[in-house]
Amino acid sequence: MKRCTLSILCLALVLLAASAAQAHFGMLIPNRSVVLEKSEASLSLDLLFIHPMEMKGMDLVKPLEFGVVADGKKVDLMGSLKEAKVLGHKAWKGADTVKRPGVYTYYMVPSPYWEPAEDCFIQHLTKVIVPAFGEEEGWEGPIGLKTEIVPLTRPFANYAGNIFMGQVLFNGKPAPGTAVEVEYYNKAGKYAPANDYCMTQVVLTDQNGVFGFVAPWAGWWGFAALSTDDQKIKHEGQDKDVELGAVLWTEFLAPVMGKK
Amino acid sequence: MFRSVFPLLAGLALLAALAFPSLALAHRVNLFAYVDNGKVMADCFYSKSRKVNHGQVIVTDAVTGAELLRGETDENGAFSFPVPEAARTAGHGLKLTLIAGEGHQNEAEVSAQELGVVPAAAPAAAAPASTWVAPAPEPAPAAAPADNAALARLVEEAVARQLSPLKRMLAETQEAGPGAVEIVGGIGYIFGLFGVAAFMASRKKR
Repeated sequence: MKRCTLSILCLALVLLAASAAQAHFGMLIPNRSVVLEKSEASLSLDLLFIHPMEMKGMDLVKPLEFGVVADGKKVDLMGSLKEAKVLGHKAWKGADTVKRPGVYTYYMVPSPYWEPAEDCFIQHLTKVIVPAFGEEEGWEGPIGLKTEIVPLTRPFANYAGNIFMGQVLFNGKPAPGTAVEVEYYNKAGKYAPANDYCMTQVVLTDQNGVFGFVAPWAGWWGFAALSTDDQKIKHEGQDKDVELGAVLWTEFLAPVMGKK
Repeated sequence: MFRSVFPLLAGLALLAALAFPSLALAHRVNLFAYVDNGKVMADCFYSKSRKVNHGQVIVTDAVTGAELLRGETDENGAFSFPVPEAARTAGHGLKLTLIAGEGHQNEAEVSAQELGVVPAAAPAAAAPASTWVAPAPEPAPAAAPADNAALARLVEEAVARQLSPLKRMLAETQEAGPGAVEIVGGIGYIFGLFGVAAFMASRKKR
């Protein structure tokens, strides 16, 4: 009898391991990563909640907050949100027009998402930073989210192969030993994971909450630093943990050959 | 002794002074021009905290290239001027060239539409050429199309509306088929079944 139980356990473990390989990502992806010309000033942003490498979607209910911070000033962009359907699931499209030179940090605070498979809520506070018209000061420092990745590498116009460094803050303090999950946005289905573990890359923050990562190929890459919130949310009368993610998206570019 | 060292020191100081500005070469100089309250504003900067001090701005007709005026930025990198009469009568845009010193140059254009010297063109219809399936757009008012462009836009919208369920079906069929999870799970099943079989076999022997 013992062996029978063992074999069933073995089976269950294999199934469980396979389903745990998916990483959730809050996503905020603009239609261009930098604005150079006035003709590029109208930005459209996709707000998603998906498994970006596998391209599997989940429903993103209307976010609690969507806006932009530049020069320490916050502008609410909730009014621009339009419902969309991405990968068969609810998503949102936002818009903004950049009028002056500056560095614009777009952010989204979604509603906590109940994930029965992990018996917890997931809430990813998501940022993306877009510079405009030649200005490149103003990406340094936090914007004041409960948890966030503060870039130490300029978070735009990087080549694939550059090291990307960031510091994870939780309640404004560095978060040591935090797992940062990294995934490629496989929008065009260009890449497949070399094995199941490769779906998500993982790096831990050091004692100062700092991590580094080198994107192996060009494209949009997302960093999700995961902490358990100090507050719980009730689900069917029971207190449940909240996985709070500090998410940052940035595009790494392939080099362009010079004309010679 | 002092007399022979002094010219050398002075020469070194001069060299250092000459060499120092070249450190700024690593910075891109930027020129952003826009129209505010009937005035053309030029914002000239290396960055937010480093503006172009007394840089020269040359304003030319964007079509003919004729120089219309020139001026200098203040300490805040700003230079402004009223829309030139010549641009107004010709209905042309402006080209601004910033010369901030040796090797520091940039240009910007202000279109005739922005200047308000010609009527603003109708914004082109955005064609979302992506794999995203947008929800059906709201039905357009049933007014007669004003021109061919509007008609083309209406047709495009109608086609997009009709195609969207098809696109969705295509996307769904692409998702079907065993994924990594199914394959690994399947292998798990095989192991499990072998385990059960092994257990049965061992029981028979006893």
